[in-house]
Amino acid sequence: MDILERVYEALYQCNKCGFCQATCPTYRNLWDEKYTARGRIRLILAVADGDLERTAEYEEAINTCLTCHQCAVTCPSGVKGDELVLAARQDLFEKKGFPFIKRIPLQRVLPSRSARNAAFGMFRVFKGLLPSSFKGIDIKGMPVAGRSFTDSTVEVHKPEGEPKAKVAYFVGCMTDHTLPGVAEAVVKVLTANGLEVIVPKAQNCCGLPMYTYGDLDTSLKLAKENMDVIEKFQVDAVITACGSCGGMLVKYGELFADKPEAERAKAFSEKTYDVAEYLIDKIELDTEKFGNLPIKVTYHDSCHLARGMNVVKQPRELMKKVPGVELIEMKDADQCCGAAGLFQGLYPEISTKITNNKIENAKNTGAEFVTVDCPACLHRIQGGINQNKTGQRVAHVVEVLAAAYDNRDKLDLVR
Amino acid sequence: MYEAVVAQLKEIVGSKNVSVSKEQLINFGFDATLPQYRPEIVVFATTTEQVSKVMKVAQKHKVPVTPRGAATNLSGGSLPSSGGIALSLTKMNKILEIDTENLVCVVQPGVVNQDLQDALAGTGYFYPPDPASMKVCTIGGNIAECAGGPRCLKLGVTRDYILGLEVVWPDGRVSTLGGRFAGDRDLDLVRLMVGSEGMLGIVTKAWLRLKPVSEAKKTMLAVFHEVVDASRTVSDIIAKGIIPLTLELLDNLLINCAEDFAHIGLPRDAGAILIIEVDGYAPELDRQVETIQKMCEANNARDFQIARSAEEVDKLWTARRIVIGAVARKRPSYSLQDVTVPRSNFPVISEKIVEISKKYDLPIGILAHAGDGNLHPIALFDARDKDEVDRVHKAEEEICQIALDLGGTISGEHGIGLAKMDFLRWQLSPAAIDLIVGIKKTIDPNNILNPGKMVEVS
Repeated sequence: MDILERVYEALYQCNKCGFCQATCPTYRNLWDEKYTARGRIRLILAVADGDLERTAEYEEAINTCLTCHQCAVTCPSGVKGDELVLAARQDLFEKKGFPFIKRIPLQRVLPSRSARNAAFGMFRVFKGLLPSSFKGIDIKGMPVAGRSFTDSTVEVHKPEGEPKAKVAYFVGCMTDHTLPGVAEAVVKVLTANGLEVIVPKAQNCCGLPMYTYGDLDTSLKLAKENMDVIEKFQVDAVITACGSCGGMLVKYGELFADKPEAERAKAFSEKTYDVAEYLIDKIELDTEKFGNLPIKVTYHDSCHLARGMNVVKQPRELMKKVPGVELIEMKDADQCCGAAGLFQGLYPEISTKITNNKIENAKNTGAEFVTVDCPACLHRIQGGINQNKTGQRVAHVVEVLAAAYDNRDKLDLVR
Repeated sequence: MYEAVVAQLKEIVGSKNVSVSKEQLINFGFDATLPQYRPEIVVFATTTEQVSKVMKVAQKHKVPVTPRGAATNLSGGSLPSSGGIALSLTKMNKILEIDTENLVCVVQPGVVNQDLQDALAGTGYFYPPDPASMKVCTIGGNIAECAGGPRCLKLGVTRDYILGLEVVWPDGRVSTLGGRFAGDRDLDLVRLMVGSEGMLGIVTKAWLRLKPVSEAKKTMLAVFHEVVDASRTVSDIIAKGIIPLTLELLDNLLINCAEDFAHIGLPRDAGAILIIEVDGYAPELDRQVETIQKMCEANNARDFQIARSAEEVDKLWTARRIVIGAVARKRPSYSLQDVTVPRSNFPVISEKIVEISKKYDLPIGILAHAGDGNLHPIALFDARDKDEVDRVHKAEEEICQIALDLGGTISGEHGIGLAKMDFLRWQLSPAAIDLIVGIKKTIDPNNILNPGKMVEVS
């Protein structure tokens, strides 16, 4: 059955009340029905009914969705606008394939460890020659690791004493290639809590970028690869410190629901946790080793973490447990930062508007650090801060914890 | 057909603010009611001057213009049913001034009601009209429909909070009516404009009256086995001389829709609930709550609770406000009436609606600003089922007729628009309808501004 036929009743369920306008970041910046869930659903219905062709403007309406899940949470009738948009993208991919600008990153670079290493390596070498910013993306401020974290670390990290549990750390491409300091902090915080941490060296892209733009097959192939790699270690839990990867890993169960791997995938998703979620909900956090860290922080919710994994309170609770840390909430903390994967490059104008709201709200807290639990948000927000010269620094929540365990009295960030 | 018009419009508002693409014609052809139309041109205006020039072009070429805000309309008023231009004012969304000394704020029409409330938070003042769709609906739309809301029981509707308006007339001329200070207005054109449903002029700026936030507030939830017990409680409370800030009723069907979304532990097996809120000086409130509790208990309330925290209050109100949007959980289409009866007849009409629901074998939920006697019977169906659609029409005709027989009206706050045009004739005498037509013809002789709404103009 055609994908749009499959979701037809869900499309038809939208009764056009318009409440999705309240939280949709694209609508709230552009004030045009085309950029809200209600409008996008109307257009998908028109295509499904054969009333509208898959035009360039239709593609723009569908592709400008950030898939931030806000509409799904806001809709009184439980219509999942983001998933309907994903269905429309799958339909577009099936009918038209990817244009060059998506084909190279989504089908050539990201799915392959060697191609990814080569691409980030080239970016590192030639970064100096590129303009300092490109389409609103802060090129100059974007760090790239000489070697990826997974290539430069050992696979097994033992804690002192008998391990309480054995966990696999799913690093994710962005952290792996650009934020080794964050990855090291994750390992440090987990081992400090008596956990044996496996960093599977053969782990691959989580599959989210392809899934987001409708290439389900590549996405499932990657998911299967990751399950194969990680299952071998027979771990008690899979830990992520990236909202995007985590949000994808917890979806594996659903994506394989009608496939032979259904049971494996379900089990895999069920034992996937965000690092903050695991530390707060699953174990007794060791707070005795915390030194004093007198800093003011605010916290930004990653879309996929807050609404994909329902992790909202845990990162905040973690930081509040560190002596000296003062958490000041920002306005609209759970609104998208504007990154949304490739979106920032494809629609820089919209993305920059959304990011600038975030930068303004973060600035108004007066905090020195904006904390996040997602590397994509980290780069986007730091880039926006650099371009707006508001002077704040963006840290991952685990970096705050690692500094406290190290008894440093300030937060130095390794970038 | 409109090539020359489109070119001129692009000159006025810039080409990115004009569209004739099929995508945009689809997206600007609907509101929150069932019917869908297609305008021929979609235009976004960002200044009064642009609105004025757009109207001059439209007037010259006799192109219909349908103004539009968030399009959460529940009577079809923002549907471009005559084609022509759909004129969106959502980008005119600046709060121009908050003047707490004079209790006034000045806004553009596209300002979202909730954004205004948020901007006022912390000043000690608020803007009372609070339609359920306040998180998305615009002040311009609120003015055009004379929107109400739960708080309007005690505080009055939009009409009572509009001090002045800047209006663009159908010929493109601009007037400022009223303004910052309320004064005597013998022939009150501001009041004429409020509730004129976009037929007479386009509001491009509004002076709104603010109110100080009350010192204290108590929110109660009363649970009943039967709708009729809840509705008797309502008449009893008002008869006792207590005017709560809000007095909202939800029946079993809507309790369940709201609970599906909100998960706050509403009683799924109850016949009806009342959400009652009183405000004022703190010492007065305990006695009011006590009296209200007695009234509820005298009418067989099975449970009575007072909200303990601001968070509990918020959750309760979220559940109430989203409920119309939540009914698609049960069936994909809905049709909503807006009848109002004298409060003393509220128990009668609510019983009749339960009977009509059975008679036509249709789920009809009852949602009511009960204190005002304003009911929103909401029929749930699937628009693809013709037989069901027929039954909805018959049931609604019957409900409207009953409301009129009980000395009520067919429109409390949603307007007439397209959806209730047929019923207006039952309510108003021919002379009154002729007068409305006459006013429309005087202000808009070529019938280009939101034509085909409220009354037929030949």
